[in-house]
Amino acid sequence: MLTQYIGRRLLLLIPLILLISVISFVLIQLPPGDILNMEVLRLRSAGTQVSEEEVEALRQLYGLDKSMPEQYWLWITNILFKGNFGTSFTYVKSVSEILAARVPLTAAVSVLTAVFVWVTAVPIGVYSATHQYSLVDYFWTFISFIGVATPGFLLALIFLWLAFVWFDISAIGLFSQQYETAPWSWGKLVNMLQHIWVPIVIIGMANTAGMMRTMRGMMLDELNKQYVITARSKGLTETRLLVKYPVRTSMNPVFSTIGWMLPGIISGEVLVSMVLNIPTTGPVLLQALLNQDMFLAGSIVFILSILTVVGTLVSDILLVWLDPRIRYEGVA
Amino acid sequence: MAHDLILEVKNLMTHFHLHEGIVRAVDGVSFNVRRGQTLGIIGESGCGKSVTVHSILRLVPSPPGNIVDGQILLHQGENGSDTGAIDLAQLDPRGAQIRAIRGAEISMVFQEPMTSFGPMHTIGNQIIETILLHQEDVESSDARELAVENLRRVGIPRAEQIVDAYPHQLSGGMRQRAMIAMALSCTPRLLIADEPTTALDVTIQAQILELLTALQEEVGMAVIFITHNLGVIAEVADEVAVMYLGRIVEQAGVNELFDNPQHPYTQGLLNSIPHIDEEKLPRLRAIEGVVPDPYEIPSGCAFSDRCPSFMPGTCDRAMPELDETVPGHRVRCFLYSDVEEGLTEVEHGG
Repeated sequence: MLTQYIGRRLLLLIPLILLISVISFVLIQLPPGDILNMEVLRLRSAGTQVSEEEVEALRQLYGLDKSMPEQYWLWITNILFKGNFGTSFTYVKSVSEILAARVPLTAAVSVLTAVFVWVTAVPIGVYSATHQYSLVDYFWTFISFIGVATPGFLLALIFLWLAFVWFDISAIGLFSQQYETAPWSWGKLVNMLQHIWVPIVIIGMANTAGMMRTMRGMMLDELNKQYVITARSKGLTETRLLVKYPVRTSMNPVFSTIGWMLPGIISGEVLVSMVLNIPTTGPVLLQALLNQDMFLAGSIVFILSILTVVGTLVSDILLVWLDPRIRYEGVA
Repeated sequence: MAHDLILEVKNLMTHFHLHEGIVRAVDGVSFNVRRGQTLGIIGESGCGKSVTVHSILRLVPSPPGNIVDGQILLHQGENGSDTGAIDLAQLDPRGAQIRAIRGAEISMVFQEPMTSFGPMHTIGNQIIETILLHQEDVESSDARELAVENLRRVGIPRAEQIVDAYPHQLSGGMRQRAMIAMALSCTPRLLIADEPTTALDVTIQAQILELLTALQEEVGMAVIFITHNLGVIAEVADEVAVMYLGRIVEQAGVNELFDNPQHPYTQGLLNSIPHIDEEKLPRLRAIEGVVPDPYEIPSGCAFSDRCPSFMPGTCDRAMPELDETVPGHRVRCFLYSDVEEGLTEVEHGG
């Protein structure tokens, strides 16, 4: 029954992803002008003579003279059948090459951030709820208000400044200098793990704070429910009954927000990554959008959307596993 | 008969310490529960009946609730050998001792069958959990069979399938049956039923009451049955305690209480039941007024502000004692007790 459900959801993904690809392509084409206008402008201001014929030739080379549906068709068939995402004009490299280095890092930062959010927010939320109005509860309530209210990039700036003033280190980047351009090795991985917690904590801060509040609220609701008292009246220890009954019920928002937490993390990550100079897709996406580097921008938006959709699917499947009430209503 | 005594509650006081003041939810309640007997506790919402039984299992949330005085003696030993008693009021509410009693010696059935089971686990899972927790000699492979047996005993059809059902797949009546099966899974000596039929419709209510009575005969356990429904109490109870604002105001055998109600509150409750054989339906005779705010309980007798037999100068000056008027029938009212005695006590006490 569960496999049937997953199969049906996977089939539904296909039209959804196609629709997303159309929308991302159209959105990126919407602003007036194209990459060549920008390029010609840049060349002319540098003093290079560019004739109209040359521009026209380039336009034909990249297929920019074709109608939008034709361009889309070219773009999507290249991706689907050749794995070719096109070429970036600004980087003068194939998009695949640029993304190959960055998408895994983005995924790593996002997934680790999500894990960080759960690992911290869930226990703190549970503790706050079971010790409502205690000093510890007030402390975390205070912290979470600050966390929700402070934008990530500001936190990043404050962190950089403090690290520089107090420890005289520059907390920028994801790797130490000697590893920055080195090929992947055990040492580079360890080096990355030493650096990656900074962006994770900063990007995850707002989500952690929000999740903490959600978890606390959910738990407070559940703790007063009859079934908790029933479990207690059976003679279970407090820890065991908390974990088995109210915590499990309260996990619902934790799982159901996986889907929209990912885009949140990714968009939050753009700014933080700019500030901290982290080689993920975020800064590249921003640059590509500014330059109207359509193939690059389109591909990033497309890939991130797919990750989000897959995240939503994973969250739905987890929910079905978590909550029998959803399981039966959904499939029946 | 002394060995039949299972539970002795003596002068129990459970108070809630809130910002607005102290709420004396249970204020000096005493009763005994004997093997095979059913004690019915009846009273309006907020009279402290639920807090009383929650205190027995130490389920009153603390803070704000505290047992400030009194004893809850659970007598040990079977077949006449009373090996002493444990005072539940002295136990750590989170400790191992009370946990070993909960669900094993004293178990509880609650009012809300819809929410009494955790929604995420099967009925069977939750019953098996109780069995494995208290019966160390049961292998986990056999526990499932026991759970099915327990479900069958409470009259659940297709018990071997229902054991794998989730609570939301069962009707309210079925859930309450399953709840009773879970409560009885470790053959407790005392079952506390906290308004177990209030949320059910009348036909299901009758079935559940029948089931409880039958099971009680079969197992020989004692039952404390809480309700605000006089009809229900007449059906199940051997002994009835009427509670008003944290105190027992009248206590007697069930027939005596219904035939010869003495406290004006009990009389009011009985009068407020509409009778089916009355020719012309009169207006319902409700008790005057409302239950006072817990912070503004009248001085003297707590019922004095609503009492039709209110005696100025007496009832507003002291709280009457719970005195025996007829053997086995005790009433807390100055209509029956020595007025002077109560008053001098107040003066001596300051």
